Amino acid sequence: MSLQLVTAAGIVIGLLYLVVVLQIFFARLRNRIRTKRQLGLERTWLPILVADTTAIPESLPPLRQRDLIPFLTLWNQLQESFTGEITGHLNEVARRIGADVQARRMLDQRSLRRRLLAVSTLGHLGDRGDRDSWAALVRLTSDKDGLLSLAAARALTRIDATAAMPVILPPLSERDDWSRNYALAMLTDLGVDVVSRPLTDAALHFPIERAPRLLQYFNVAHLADAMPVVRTLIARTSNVECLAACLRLFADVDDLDTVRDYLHHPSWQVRVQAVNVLARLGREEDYAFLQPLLCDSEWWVRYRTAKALCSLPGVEMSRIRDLSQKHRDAFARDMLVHVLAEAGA
Amino acid sequence: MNVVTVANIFGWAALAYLVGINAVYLVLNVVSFVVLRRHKQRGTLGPLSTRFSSLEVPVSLLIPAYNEEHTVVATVRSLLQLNYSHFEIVVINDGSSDRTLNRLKEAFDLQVFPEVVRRRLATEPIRAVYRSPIYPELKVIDKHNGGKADALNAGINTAQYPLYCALDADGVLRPDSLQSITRPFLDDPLTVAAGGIIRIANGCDVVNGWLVRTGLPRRPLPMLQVVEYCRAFLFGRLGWNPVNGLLVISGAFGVFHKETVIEAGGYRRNTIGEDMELVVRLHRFLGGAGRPYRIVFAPEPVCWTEAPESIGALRTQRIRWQRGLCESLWLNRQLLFSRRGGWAGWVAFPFALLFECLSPVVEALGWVYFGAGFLAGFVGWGFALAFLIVNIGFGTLLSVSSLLLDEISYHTYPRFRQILALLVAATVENLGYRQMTAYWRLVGLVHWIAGTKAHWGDMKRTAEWSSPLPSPQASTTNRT
Repeated sequence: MSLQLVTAAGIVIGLLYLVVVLQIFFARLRNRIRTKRQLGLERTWLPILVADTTAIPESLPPLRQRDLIPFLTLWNQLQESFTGEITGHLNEVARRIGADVQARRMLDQRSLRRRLLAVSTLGHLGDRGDRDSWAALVRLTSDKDGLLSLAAARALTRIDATAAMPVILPPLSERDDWSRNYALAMLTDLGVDVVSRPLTDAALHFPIERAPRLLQYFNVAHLADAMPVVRTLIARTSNVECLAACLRLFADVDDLDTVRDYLHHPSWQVRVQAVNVLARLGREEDYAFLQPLLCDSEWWVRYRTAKALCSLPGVEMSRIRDLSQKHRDAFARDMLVHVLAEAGA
Repeated sequence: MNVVTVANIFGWAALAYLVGINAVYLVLNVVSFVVLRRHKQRGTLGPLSTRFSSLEVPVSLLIPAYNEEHTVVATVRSLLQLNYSHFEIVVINDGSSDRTLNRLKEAFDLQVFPEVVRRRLATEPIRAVYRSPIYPELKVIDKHNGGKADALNAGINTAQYPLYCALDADGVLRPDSLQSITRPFLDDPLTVAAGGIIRIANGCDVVNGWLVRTGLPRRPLPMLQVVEYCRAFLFGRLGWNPVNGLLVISGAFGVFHKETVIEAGGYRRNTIGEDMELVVRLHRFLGGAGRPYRIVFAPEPVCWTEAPESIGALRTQRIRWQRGLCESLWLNRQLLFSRRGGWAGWVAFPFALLFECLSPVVEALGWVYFGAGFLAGFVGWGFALAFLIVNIGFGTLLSVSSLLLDEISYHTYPRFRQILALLVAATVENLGYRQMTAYWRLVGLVHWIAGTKAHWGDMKRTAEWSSPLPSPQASTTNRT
C-alpha cells in the first residue's frame, strides 16, 4: 500500500479531528453569544410585551432579522402563559413590528422550527380576515408531520373556532399520529358549546370505524347532544372498540337496561365497561347482575366487578365481607379480599 | 495459494471491514446531527406540552432489586418525588439474600397486602405483596429469585398503568426524567417503547437521590466510559431513530407500552441481555404482524448510572453485554431479512450482527495480524499505518464528534475544563481502552459460542457521588 496515500489519509483524518475540536469550541462560544443575545432581547422587549395595554410606546425598537426567531419564541411563550387582556396587547405589539407579515412568509419556509412558530403566531394573532393564511393553515392540517398538522389545527381553532371544526374533525377521526391528549386539550380549550354539535354529528355521519376515535372526545360535548348519538351507535354496531367507547359514556340511569345487556358480551373489553357503568350508576338490584361476573375469566372484569359491588348504593361492606368468605369460587373470594383491602374495609 | 497470500487477503479484508464499520458510524453520526436538530426544532412550541401536563399517561415504575440494600431506599425516596402527575412505584425484591426487603419495610412501613396478581406472564412464585400506608403509590413484591427478566415480568403482572418504566435500583434521575421519556408516547400514539440517554453518575453531585450537578469522574476508568457512553448513545442509538431501527433500549431506563410487551411474551427469562432481546423481539413481533409501531430514542439525558471503577467489574459487564447482544440476535434471527422486517430487519439487524457482534473478532485478529506481520516483515509500513489510522484515527474522530453532538444539543458539561478533560479522554480512549474492551467482547462472544453459564458478576457499588441517605422522618415531613 502506498505510504504517501496512507499518510494523506492520516492527514485528512487529523484535519477532520481538528475541525471537530474547533467546532466544539465554536459551539460553546456560539451558545454563550446566543444566551447573551437572548438576555438582551428579553431586556428590551419583556417590559414592552408585558406592560399595561396603554403603555405601548409610540416608536417601538426595531426588530433585527437575527432576533426574529428568538422574539417570536418569547412572544409565543408569553401567549401560552397568559390569558385575557394581555394577549390582545401582545398581538398589537406583534402587528406593529410586522411579526404577522413575517409569520406569513415563514409558513412556506423549509425549517420546521420556523413553520411551527409561524403557525402558532398566526393562530394567536387570530386574524379572521386573513384568508390567505387561513387557506395555508388548512393545507397544513394535512401535512405529513403530525406535530405541524396538529399545530395548524390548533391555530385554526384560535382564529375561528366554528369555521375550524369541519376542517379539523376529519383528521381528528383519521390520523394515527395526532396525539389524543393534545387534541383533547385543544377541544377542551374551545369549550363545549363550540365542539358539541359538530363533534357528535361527525361521529354519527362519518364511517362507523372512525367513530371510536371521535367518541373518546365526547367528554367535551353536551350530554343532550352526545347521548342520542351514543344510543344510535351502540344499536348500530358490533365493533368491540366502538361498543366499549359508547358504554364508557353512559351517564343516565334510563340506559341501565341497555348496559346490563352487555354484561355477558363475548368481549371482556365490553364487559368491563358495562361493569364500570354499573359501578357509577347501578342500583341495589344490580348486585344480582354483577355477582356472576366475579367468576369471569378476565382479571379486569373480576376486579372491576368487585369494586362495583362495593360501590352499589344500599350494599353494605359487611355484605361484601360476608360474600368474600362464603363465595364458592376461589378467584372471586381472592378478588373481593383484594378490593376490600384496597378500600381499607 | 501460500500462507503469505492468505494472510494478505485477510489483512485487506480486515482493513476493508474496519473502513466499513467506521463509515457506517460516520453516517450514523451525520444522521444523529440531523435528528438532534429536528428534535430541538420540534421543541419550539415547548410550552404547548407543559400546558398539557395534566394529561400525562400514567406510568408504573418497575424496579427489580437483587441485593440492593445500600441503594434501594434512596432510589425509592427520590422516585416518590418525581415531577409527574400519575405514577406508581413497584419494587420487585428478586429473592435478595441481604436486607433489601427489610430496609424497604422499615423505611416505608410496608404491610402485607392481599393482592390478586394477574399472572399474564409466567414468573417464579411471589411470596407476598406489600403496600405502604404512607405512600399509596408504592408497592413491593417479594418473590423467589428468578433473575432480572423474571422480576420485571412479575412487575408487569402487577403494574396497573398502560405504560411501564423499567429502571435499575441504582439509577439516578432528574425530576423531569419521566416527562421527557414519556413525551414520545404523547406525541405519537404509535410509540410502543422509548429509551433515553444514560449518563455516568460518577463525579456528579447527587442529593437525596437527585442529580443536582453534573461532573466528571476523577478516576480514569469511569472517565473513559463517559466518552464511550456519549458515543454509544448520541449516535449509536439516536442515528437509528428516523428509520425505526433502534435495537436496544437500556435496561437502566426505558418506557414500554405494557399490553404490547405482554402480547410479545414479556421479558425472556433465560437470557442475560433481556433489555435488548425484548426490543429486537418487539420489532420481530410487530413488524411480522404488519402492525404500525415506533420504537423511539429520546435524546434527552434522563438517567445517570454508576460506572464500574475496577477493571474486574468492567470486564464482567462487557462480557455480559456482548453475550446479551449475541443472544438477542440469535434468538430473533428470523427478523434478519424478513419480509416485513423493515429497516430493523434489513439494515439495523445485519449491522448489529456484522459490525457489533463480530467486530471484536476482526479487531483482535487485525491487531495480531498487523502487529505480528509488521514485526515479521510481511506487513509493510503503509499497510500497518493504514490499520492504525483506520482503527485509532477514525475511532478518535468518532469519539470527539460525539462530544460535539453533546455540546450542540445538551451542553451537559458546561465548564471549559470539563470539555478539555473530555477531549483528552476521547483521544486516550482509543489508545488501549477500546482495544481492551474489544478483547473482553471477544471473550463474551467465545463464552456465548461455548455456552458457558452466564452470570451477572458482582459489581461493588460505591455511590461516592451520592450524599448520605436522608432519615425516614425527614423525608416523610418533606412530603406534601
